Amino acid sequence: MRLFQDLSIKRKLTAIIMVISTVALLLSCVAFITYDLLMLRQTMKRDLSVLAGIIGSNSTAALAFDDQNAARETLSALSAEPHVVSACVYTRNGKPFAKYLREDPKGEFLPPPPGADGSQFEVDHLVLFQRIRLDGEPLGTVYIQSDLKEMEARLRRYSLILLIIVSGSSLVAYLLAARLQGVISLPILHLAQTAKVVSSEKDYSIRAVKKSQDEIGTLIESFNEMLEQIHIRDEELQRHREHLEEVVFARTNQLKATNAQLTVAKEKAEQANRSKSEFLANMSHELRTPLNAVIGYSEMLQETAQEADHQEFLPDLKKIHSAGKHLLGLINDILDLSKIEAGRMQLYLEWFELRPMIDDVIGTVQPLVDKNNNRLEVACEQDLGWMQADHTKTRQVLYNLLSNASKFTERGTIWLVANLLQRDDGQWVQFRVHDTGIGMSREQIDKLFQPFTQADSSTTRKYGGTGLGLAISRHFCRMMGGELQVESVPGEGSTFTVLLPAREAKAERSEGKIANQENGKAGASEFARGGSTEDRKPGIGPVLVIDDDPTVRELVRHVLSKEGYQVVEASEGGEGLLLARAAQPMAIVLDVLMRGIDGWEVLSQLKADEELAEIPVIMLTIVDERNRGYLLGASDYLVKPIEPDRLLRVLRKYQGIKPSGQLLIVEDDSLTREMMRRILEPMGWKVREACNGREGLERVAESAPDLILLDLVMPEMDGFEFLSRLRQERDGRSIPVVVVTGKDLSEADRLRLNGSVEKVLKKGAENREHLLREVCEWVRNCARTAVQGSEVEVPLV
Amino acid sequence: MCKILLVEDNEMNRDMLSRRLKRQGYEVVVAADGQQGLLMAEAESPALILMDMSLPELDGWEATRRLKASKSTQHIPVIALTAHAMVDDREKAYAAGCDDYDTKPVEFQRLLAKINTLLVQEGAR
Repeated sequence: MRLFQDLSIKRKLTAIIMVISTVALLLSCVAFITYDLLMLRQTMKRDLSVLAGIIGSNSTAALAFDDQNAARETLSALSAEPHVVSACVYTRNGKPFAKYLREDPKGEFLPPPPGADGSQFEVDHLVLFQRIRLDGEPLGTVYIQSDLKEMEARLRRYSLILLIIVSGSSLVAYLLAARLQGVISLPILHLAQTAKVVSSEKDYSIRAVKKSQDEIGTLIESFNEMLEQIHIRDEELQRHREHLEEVVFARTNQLKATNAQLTVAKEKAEQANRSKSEFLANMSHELRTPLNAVIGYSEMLQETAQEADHQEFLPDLKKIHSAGKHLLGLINDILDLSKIEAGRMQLYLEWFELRPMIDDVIGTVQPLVDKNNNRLEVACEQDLGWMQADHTKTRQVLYNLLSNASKFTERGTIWLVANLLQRDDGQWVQFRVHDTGIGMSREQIDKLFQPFTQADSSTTRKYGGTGLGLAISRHFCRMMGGELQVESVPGEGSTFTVLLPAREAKAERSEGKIANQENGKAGASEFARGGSTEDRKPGIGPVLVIDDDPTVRELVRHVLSKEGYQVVEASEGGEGLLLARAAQPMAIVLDVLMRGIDGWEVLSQLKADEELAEIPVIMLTIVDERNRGYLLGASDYLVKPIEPDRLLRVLRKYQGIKPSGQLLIVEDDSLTREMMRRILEPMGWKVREACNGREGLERVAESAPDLILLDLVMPEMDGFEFLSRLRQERDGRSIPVVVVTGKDLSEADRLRLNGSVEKVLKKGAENREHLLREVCEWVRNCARTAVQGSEVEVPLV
Repeated sequence: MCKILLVEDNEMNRDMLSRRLKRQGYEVVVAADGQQGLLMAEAESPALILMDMSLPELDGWEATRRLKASKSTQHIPVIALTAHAMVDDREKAYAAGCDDYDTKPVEFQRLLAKINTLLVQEGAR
C-alpha cells in the first residue's frame, strides 16, 4: 500500500483503471464458465441415463433367458462410447450378470454392489445405477461408470481462452488508461512543476496554465492568485529594502560625520584639559613665589618681634603667617589635582616606620582638633612596624582625613585606629578615622570624592576648604594600590577607611609611573623593582643596614646610595629581622654590639630562617672576631672604621646573585668589547656582543636587551644607522642606548643623536680605566632611568 | 662659620632667605643667575650652595652640572630649590648632580636640617 501511495499520480490512475477492468473481465468470464460447466454436467447425466435405458431394454431378453453372452454382446456395444470406462448388468438379486471394461473388453473387474437408481459425480467419475424393468417388474440393474475427460478438456480450453481475453483486454485497457489518465494527471503535474520552478527560482511572476473548469482548474486559479499576492508583497519588500539601504547609508554617513566631529571635539577637550592642567601647574608656581616671601617674611618678623620684645605684633604676624600657610595648602591641593589630571603625579616609594609617621600627623593635626573642642583618641596595634609606600602621600591622606574629621565635628570625639591586616594577597595597613560629627547622607557620599565638590555647596561657606582633599586622598590611595572608603550616618558621624598594601608590589601594577625616593641620592631601588623577582634589573636591590649608631647608618647609606644601592635601615636587631623578611634585601650589613638582640644573635636567627638564610650577611663591626662570624654563617667580615671602597667591593660580589639584565655591546673593536665585558659581567649583566650595526639589530631581534652600548664608527652599518633603525622597531624604541665613541662629534652628529641616546662617552686618549668607570656609572644610571620611564636630558660630553 | 652661596633670581626670596640664613649665623653670598652662580662658586668656594632651578641665562640644572664637572667645585654640596614641584623635578635635580632637594616655599627649619646634614657629611670627609 505504501508503495502504491508513493507512485506518481499518472501511474496510480493507470493502475486503478487496469485493476478495475481486469477484475470486471475476470468476474464475467468466471460466471460464464461456471454456467457452461454446470450445463455440461446436466447433459452428461442425461446422456448416460439414456444410454443405460438402451442397454437395459436390450438386456431384458438376455436376463429373462439367462443368456449371459447376449448380455455381454449388448454391453460390448458400449465401446462406441469413448467416455464409458466400465459397465455391468446385475441380476435381480444383485449378482453381476455381464461386465464391460473398455481397456480390457474380455477382462474381469469387480463391479461395486448395485446401489439405488440415479447418477452421481465422484472424484473423477460419473457413476450411474438404473433398474431394468419388464412390465414394471424389476429384472436387474445396469451400472455405468463414465470418465470426466470431456469436462476437463473444456475447462482447459476455457482457461486458455480466459488468459487470452484477459491479457488482450488488459493491454487495450492499459493503452487506453495511459492515454486517458492524462486528462486528470497532466494539469496536476503542470501545477506541481510550476510550484517547483517558483520555489527554486524564487520567481513569483510565473503562472500555471488553467485548461479546464473543474476542481483542478479552480485549484490552479487559487494557486495563481496566491502567487500574485506573494509577487506583490515581494516587490513591496524589495522596495522597502532598497529604501532601507538608502536610509542606512544616509544614517551611516551622518554617524560618520558626527563621529568625526566628536573626535575633534574630544581632542579639543583633551587639549583644553591638558592646557588647563599645565596652566594650573604654572599658575601655582607663580603663586608660590610671592607666597614664599609672605610666609618667609612673616616668620622673620615674628622672630624679630620676639627678640625686640614687641609681643603686641605677634598675634597679627601669626595670622599673616597662618593665612599664608592656608593659601599654600589650597594651592598645593590644586597643584596635586592638576598633576593627577595631567597624569603626571608620581609615587616616591620608601620604607618608613608607621608609628612615628602617625605620631607626626597627630602632632600636626592636634591644634585643629582642639579648635572645635574635640578629643582625639588613637588606638594603634602595638607593633605596626614598617611599610613601603609614598611617605608624603600616606601622611597627607591621614592628615586630610583627620583634619576633615576635626573640621566637621564639634565637641565630639575623633578616633584614629591603625592596624595590620593579613590577607591572601599579602599584608595590608588599615587606618580608620571615625568621628561623631555632622555625617553625610547617601547623596552627599556619592559626590564626596568628586573634585571641587563638598558635601553641599553651603559647606564651603561654613567650613571652608577647596573640596579637593578627599578626591586627592582617594587617588593617592589607589595609586599606591589601596583604597579609601567611607561610611556615614547623617547627624551621627562618619568613618573613613584607608587600606594600603604594606609593600609596594601592588602599587606598581596599578600605576605605571613610579619614581623612587631615598634620602640622599635618587633612587637606585628601581633595580629591585619591575614586578616579580624574576625580571629584576641588574641587582643593586636593597641593602639592609642594621646598626644602632645613626652616624654609621648615615655613612653607610651615603656610601651605598652614591653607588646606586637602595638602602633600608634598622636601628636594632629585632627590627632588622623584621625588615629582612619584609624587604628581602640583596645583602645585609650587620653590626655586632647593639642594644637588645646583638649582632651574633641576629646572624644566627637569619641563618636559621629558611627564607633569609640565603641572603649574604656582611659583618661591619668594631669587634674583631672573624672566626666566630664566619662560623655563624657571615659571608664577609669587615672591621670598623668603615672603608667605603672595601665595603663596595664586597657588596659588588653579591650583585650578580640576583637574576640580572641583558646588555648588548655593539662595537667593532674586539679588544674594547672584551674589556667592557670583563668589567660588566661581574656587575651582573648578561653581556652579548655584535661587531657592527647590522649584527646589533639581529641581536636585538633575537631578544631585546635592557641596555645597549654603541660605537658610532663601524663597518657595514654604523651607529647612526643602527640607532635610527632601532628606534623604528617597536621593541627597540625604548631601549636605552649609551654611545661610546672615539669620533669627534660635529654639530650635525649631535643633532642626529639628540633625544635618542642617554649619554655619549668619549673614547679619548685618556686612560681606559677612566672610560670604563664612566661606562659603569652610566650603565647604572640608564638602568635606573629606563625603569623610571622618565626622560633624561641628553648631556653630551 | 660656614659660607653658603645662594643662587636665586627672585629678589624678594633672595633677600629673605639670605637674611634668615645670616641670622642662623651662616655667612651668605648671593648670585642672581646661573652664570653668576658659577663665577661666585669659583671665587668664593662656599661650603654649600643653595640653587634655585629656574634661573635666567643658565638654569639651575645646567649650572649644577657644570659645577659638578669642574674639579674645583665638584666637592661642594648643592641643594636644589624649585617651586615647580612638577614631575621629574626631583629626578632631574639628582641627575644633574644635586645632593639634596627642597621645594619652595621653603620650610625654613627643614631646609636648615638639610643644610646641616650636608655640611656635617662634608666635614666628615
